[in-house]
Amino acid sequence: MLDRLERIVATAPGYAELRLHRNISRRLFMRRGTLIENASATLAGGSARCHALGTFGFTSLPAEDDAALERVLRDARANADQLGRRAAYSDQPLPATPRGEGVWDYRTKRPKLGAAARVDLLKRLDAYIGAHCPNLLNVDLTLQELAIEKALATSEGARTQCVSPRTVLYVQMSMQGGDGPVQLYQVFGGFGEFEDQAEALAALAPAIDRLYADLRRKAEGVHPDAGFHDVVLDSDLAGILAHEAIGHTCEADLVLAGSIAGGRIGEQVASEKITLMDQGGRGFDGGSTIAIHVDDEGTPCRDIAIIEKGVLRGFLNNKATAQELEAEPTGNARAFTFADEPIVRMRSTCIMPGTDKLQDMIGAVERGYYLKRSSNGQADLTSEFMFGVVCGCEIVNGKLGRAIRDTTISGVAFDVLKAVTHVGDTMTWSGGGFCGKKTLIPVGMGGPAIKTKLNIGGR
Amino acid sequence: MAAASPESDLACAAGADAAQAALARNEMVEVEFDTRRLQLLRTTEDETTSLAVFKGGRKGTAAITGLAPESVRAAIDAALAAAAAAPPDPANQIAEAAPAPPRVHGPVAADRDHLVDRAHEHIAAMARDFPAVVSRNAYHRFTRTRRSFASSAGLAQQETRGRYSFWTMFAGRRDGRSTSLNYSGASAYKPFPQLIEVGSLHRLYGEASRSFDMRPAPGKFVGDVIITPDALEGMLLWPLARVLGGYSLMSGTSPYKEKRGQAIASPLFSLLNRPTAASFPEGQDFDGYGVPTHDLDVIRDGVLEDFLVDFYIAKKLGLKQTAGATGFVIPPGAKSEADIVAETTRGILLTRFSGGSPADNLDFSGIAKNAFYVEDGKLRYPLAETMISGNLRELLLAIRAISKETIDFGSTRLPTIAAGGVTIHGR
Repeated sequence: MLDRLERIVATAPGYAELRLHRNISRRLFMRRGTLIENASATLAGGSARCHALGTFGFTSLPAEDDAALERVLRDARANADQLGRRAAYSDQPLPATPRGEGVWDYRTKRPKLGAAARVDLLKRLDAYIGAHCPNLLNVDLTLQELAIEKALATSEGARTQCVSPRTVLYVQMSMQGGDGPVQLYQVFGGFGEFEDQAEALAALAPAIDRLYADLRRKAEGVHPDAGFHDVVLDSDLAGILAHEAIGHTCEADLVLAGSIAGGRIGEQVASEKITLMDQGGRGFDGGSTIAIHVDDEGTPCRDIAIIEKGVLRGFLNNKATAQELEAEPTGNARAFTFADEPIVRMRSTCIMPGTDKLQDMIGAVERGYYLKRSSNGQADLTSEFMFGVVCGCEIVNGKLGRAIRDTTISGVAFDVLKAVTHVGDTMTWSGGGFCGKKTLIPVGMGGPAIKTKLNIGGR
Repeated sequence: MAAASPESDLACAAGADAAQAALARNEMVEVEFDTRRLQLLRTTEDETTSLAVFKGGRKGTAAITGLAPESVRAAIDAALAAAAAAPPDPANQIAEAAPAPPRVHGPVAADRDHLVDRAHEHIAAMARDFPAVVSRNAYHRFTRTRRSFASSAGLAQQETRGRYSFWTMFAGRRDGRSTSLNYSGASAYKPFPQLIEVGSLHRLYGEASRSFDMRPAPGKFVGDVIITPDALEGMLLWPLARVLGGYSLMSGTSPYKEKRGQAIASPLFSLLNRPTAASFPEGQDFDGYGVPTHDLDVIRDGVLEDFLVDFYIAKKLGLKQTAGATGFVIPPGAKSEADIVAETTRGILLTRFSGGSPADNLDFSGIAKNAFYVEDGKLRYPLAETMISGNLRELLLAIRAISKETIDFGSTRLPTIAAGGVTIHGR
């Protein structure tokens, strides 16, 4: 496959990327014991991106044969030429990078399991919940598998192939609260195919018991007191904090759009306890839920210290942003489907673990909140981020108190990170993070528990 | 595909009791640009075939790219294997409905020069009219989608929609200071004469230009929130459509499950499902089961008239199928937005809500983005670090005014809505 790509891309007259890309997915969705969705998909095609006359051209087709690859390359170049002639910019070449080379195949080495094993897993979990978790209004079980296969060759000599699979299970329960239905969900699973995760997913009973106990407390819970509070963010939340609060703010395309982080390289923007990285491979400890070694421009993925001991150190670049910012490409150009052009995306973004203990953090809060699990989040150029919190409780005089209902937390990222007093010693990678910037894309998000101050929504 | 497509025939020949095939073919031309430069001309084609097979009440589906015979064969095998593993469910059936003649909406091909020229002009217009606004990701696009459906029951449908769309993300940027990000866009069958006038963009660009001196709302209070069309869609419309949908009835978690025929909103408020509206290029003539869509009044003058029930839920719960879920209209009111602001004692004007997805009890909380503090009938200053929270059920009942101005986004047409009882707190 790589030989074919390399041979065809070599015919391009200037800068060109040529990619074969398959997204292989499966989704099972069971509600109240009824299997509503039982689907698989293999969506595949070829695409090319060319650079000419200071602009890009991109073309994709839903085919993988030589004729299709030759056509996407030809049409992508024609697109770049058409736009370039209209724009009439100077034809400055893109920055050259080391050639990304290598083959990484993370498909399972275990015997393949069929549809029956997946359906049986959901049936057994549903039966367990039915037997052990009384008075539920609803139970949703969603098994979601996605393996992304990419092969890339570029005119600069990059030559690489990677298969990165992920399997996650969402368990959501609902029960009646005093003022309406109350829900809680948790994500299980992570890197690998179903066969790699099946054993762990089949042993979820203790985690489901804890989820149910949290839901019962939440149903009797209270709305937080809206305002600015001391909070302890569990390690499950640290990843989304790294991603939303800082990661987006330091994507170079957003820096060029006016992010508050622009021009602040070298400044102290966080507590000295904070080191925040965006990493290639599978993260510093091999535990992230995605794998990426070479990006979709053919640049080898470098680990980037965005913040090092509180000091802002670097941004996430593709070739075009690196050219504008006079920086080095970092290997952050990623595309989700064969029809998508690579844009600046995070990879595995995490706050590095510290030395503090969770119990010490909780004990240090006189009045505040311990926030355990998140939902969706959003970033801003001002670095004022938010994310939803679906599970948490009050802290009163250093002790955990009443559960709280769904809420949203927000803050100005650099202020929140400057207010960090504790960084935990235990790292967690989130199971199934997706980022939604123009297109969805799987990302890794992780970190330890931290103690800080931020805004919490409530009544 | 003709009625009883080759794909569904193959599936039946392979052992299915019944089968259906849906084909979606998209052709797109897109110009990407920012405040200063044209960046990318992108042309894409994709073709997805989705096969569903039914056997003994068991259902399995598989999707592939294209229609290559070996891929179709593999998809049928995958769908049959999935169905064999599934528990039986009597609601798993293929629909019977009246086929409609194929329909073509909008242009059949992109005017590529138009796409590029309007983008180029937009760069100049922004520099001239809104020099303090920076956009980084702007997409001017033409998409042509052909959807085809055929089942072994002889039901066949086809529609083709060609439409232009423009979407951009932007912020104010001046003297090293930035405003909050904002984003908006719309789609239409006809080419846009000027991108700066698409949807609500002219207004939003102006607001970004006036939002550099942001500060938090004063303290914590309960006040009014005036929700503009851009904020209304994500904050209210989609959470409401979800809990009024059949799948929430199936889960038993809809707070409105026993409320049909009752008032659930202010009499000023109606919610209409209009999947085939002439101005909605994002609409659909038929749904995923091949059933023709039609208009449905979901909420009329505050009263819950009907739920959004698709073919599967209708069979599952013994209800009448009502509508396809695309395309919503909230009808306008009688007052101008300016009058609504003038009548507000204390509250905020909200253009973007950045919050956690509301759960089925419809509690909400989040940041008031691109918002202005309102006091004694006047916009006072742009807000930063200000959160709002409340409950959407209560908010619907507390609606006190709806604007006569609406924005047509191509998939929704929405006014500005004002309601009281929302907790607002600045840091």
